[in-house]
Amino acid sequence: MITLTPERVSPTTNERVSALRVRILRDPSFGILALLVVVCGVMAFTEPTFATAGNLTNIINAMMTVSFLAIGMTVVLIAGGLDLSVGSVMALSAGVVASCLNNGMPLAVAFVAALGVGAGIGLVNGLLITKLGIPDFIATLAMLGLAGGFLLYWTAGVPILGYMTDAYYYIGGLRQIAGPVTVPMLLVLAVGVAVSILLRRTTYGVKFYAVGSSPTGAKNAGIRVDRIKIAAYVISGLMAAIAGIHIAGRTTTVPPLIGNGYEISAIAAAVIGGASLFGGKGRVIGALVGALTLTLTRNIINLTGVESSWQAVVTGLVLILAVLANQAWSGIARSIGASRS
Amino acid sequence: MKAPSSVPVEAQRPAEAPHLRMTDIHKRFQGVQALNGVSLLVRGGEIHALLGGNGAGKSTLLNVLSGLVTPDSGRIELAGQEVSIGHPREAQALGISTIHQELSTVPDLTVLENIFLGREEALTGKGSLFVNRRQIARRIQDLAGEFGITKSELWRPVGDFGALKKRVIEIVKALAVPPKVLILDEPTSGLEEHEKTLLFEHMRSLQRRGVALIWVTHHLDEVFGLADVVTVMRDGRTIARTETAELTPRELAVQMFGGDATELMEAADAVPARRRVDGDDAHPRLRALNLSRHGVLRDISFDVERGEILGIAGLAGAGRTELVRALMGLDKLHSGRIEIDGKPRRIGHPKVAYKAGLAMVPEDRKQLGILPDLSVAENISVSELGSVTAGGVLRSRRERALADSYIKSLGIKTPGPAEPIRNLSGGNQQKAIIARCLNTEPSILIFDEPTQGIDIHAKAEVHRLIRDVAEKGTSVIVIASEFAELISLCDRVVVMNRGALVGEIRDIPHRVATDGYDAVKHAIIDKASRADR
Repeated sequence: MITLTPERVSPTTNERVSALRVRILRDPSFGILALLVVVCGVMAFTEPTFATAGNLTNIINAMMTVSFLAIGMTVVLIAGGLDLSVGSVMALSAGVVASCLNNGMPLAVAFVAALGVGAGIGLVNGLLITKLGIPDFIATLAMLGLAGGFLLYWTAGVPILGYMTDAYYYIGGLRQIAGPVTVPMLLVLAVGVAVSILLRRTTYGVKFYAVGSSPTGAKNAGIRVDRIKIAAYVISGLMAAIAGIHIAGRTTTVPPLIGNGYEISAIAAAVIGGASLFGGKGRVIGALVGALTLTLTRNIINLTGVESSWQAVVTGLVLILAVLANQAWSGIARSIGASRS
Repeated sequence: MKAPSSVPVEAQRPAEAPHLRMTDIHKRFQGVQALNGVSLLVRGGEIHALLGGNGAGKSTLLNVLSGLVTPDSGRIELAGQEVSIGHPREAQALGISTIHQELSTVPDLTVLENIFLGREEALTGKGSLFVNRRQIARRIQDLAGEFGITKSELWRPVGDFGALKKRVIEIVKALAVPPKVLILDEPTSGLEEHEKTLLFEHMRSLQRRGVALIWVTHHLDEVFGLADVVTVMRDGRTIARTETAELTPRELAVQMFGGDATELMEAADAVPARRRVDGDDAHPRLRALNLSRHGVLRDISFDVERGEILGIAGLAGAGRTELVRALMGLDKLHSGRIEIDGKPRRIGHPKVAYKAGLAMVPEDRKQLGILPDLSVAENISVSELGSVTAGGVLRSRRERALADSYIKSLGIKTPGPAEPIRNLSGGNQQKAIIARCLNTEPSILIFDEPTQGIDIHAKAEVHRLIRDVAEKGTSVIVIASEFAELISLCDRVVVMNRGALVGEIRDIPHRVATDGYDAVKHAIIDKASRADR
């Protein structure tokens, strides 16, 4: 064979830009984001209090807890699992922080203890699922009951109070550090960027997608499937602990049932953001968009004076709508991608 | 990267010591002795064919080597050192790479990610935590390009592609990091001629570089052109290890199946006696008129007579599967009409197709055909539950009796009708699916790649079965990628190219007698590929 002049190896700028455009367009959270922009636009015109700095800051502050949980849930969903225990783990971590502080321990020790509890429960979840073969749904449902029940027994049903310190007011987000900016906002940003880099830019992150998409294929490729799954649950446990640290600082009391229902919000946010219950799909940015969607919905319900008993109904409808929007969008996006190659 | 032919030929054939030696490997699965003292000896720079019928234990042996199965006993030595392989990761670390028979790509990852998955170290540099996808893409895009994967396709999820491309992706994955031992488990199934040729060239190039290649195939003709040594397995044992040069195909068949099976195979190879096809009825059994589906099928018309075996030839992507899917009501037709026995039928759903007398044995047995966890009996009765119910209630005794009769008449090898079908070998699963179709008493039976992935013995049996069905008056439509199969099986072959019918070869048995086999084959290939590439 005759050697030809070496072909261009790097894609042309044009190709690169169009590849990037396809990737952004194909991202499922793009459809939701477009929807949110429209909704916000309409709200800004119809509801004068909506587009005020105060209200927007409220929305951001209110979405922090679910954001942490949703990031962890997204990691688990990507790896093909499901973590129902996050609400209880968050509550238990919050309880651990509060009682550590009440016992005179420094803030750092209390936080490390809470993170340890979260990671530990995540590890147990992972081991139950991978080593004992208990289905994800069952193992984490059991842990939801165990962790929640333990907190209830431990506190005898009485809320934990009086643990707040000056620094904790900042960390919980009740005091701003500069303008409207609070520590939780920076923390969500930092955690989000870190997990996103882990998932999308490291050799380790690809394995989560591989395990969730096809455990057999992943094993054949030489991946230790069990370890990845366990790691996903540990990450989810850690995120729940961070959410617990945050919520204890924000509410200044820890009632034992503080975590009730949060697992549902976390799953909803992750799924709205494009994570799949069948594994292999999901992004951190999607989780944040999902958390924003849920919080925005609640905010709009409050502002427009819809009776609060309708809140759950509306949230349910939003979930269905959001997922439908995702599906419609990925259908459109696929045809864009296909016509391009 | 260079083309395979540019690899220096003087690359020394490495040491004579066996590269891989497996000794006395035993493995038992739930009462089944899958491996019963198997030994395998492969030298570096050797293409070693591993042959045997379905259920001979080849796949288990390969799984031991690739770390998916831990043997009960036995010894594995690599380059003279004993090794234990407990996980695919360890196999890879030892330089053992596998192209799996079952597609094992990860659908949600991109082609690129699939290729580097599990080989990050080799492709991104040791200890590097971050992946630079663009850099890896540059490293592999020439290799990928040789196999027809474009640069932009590297960035698309594997789930977007069909089975054929997935196999090619697996091949590129295995070649991306040059292995020391390469296992190829039926790597060519479903590939087109030029892709096969390319793969063979790569195999030779790896051979010249001293790689030990272990190659499982059901195509004996390929073995004689390529393999240096053949090891034959039967019933979990090694039967013989022979230099290919000292073997004849007949001896090989005897090694694989014992003395009695060769007759059956020869019967299958022989061109059947001229069969008459009743064309004298007023209406053909099936008449398709101007069938079209946007972008897939273009204005297709053909007839099938009673008792006729009609073959559909064409390259991958020509629209063969799409055509039969539309006939079965699995995909929508945008125009055209279908007549069965002269009556026009609208088939919008498979249920309607069954009612109209159509049945299909689908292409991908594992994904579309079998219900893996259900029993053989349930798999057979599921399409026509009316045959095993009384007053709307399922009668398991009837179901078992029905299954028993098919097990006997089709020769399905199973411990019993209650056995989960996943435990059967490929050929026997295929027969159970055929039984399911026969149980709907179809007047038109469609086979999409009926013998893919089953051994030549089972293949001969499936061919005989298809002929029997046609002999009894059922019209048969067969899709097969192997032209040899179509020519030996069909009364008539229509050829598809880019969604349209582009030709027809009539009176095949007669033609083979007069024009010769190769002339007919070339007539088909010519029509199938004209104006295509």
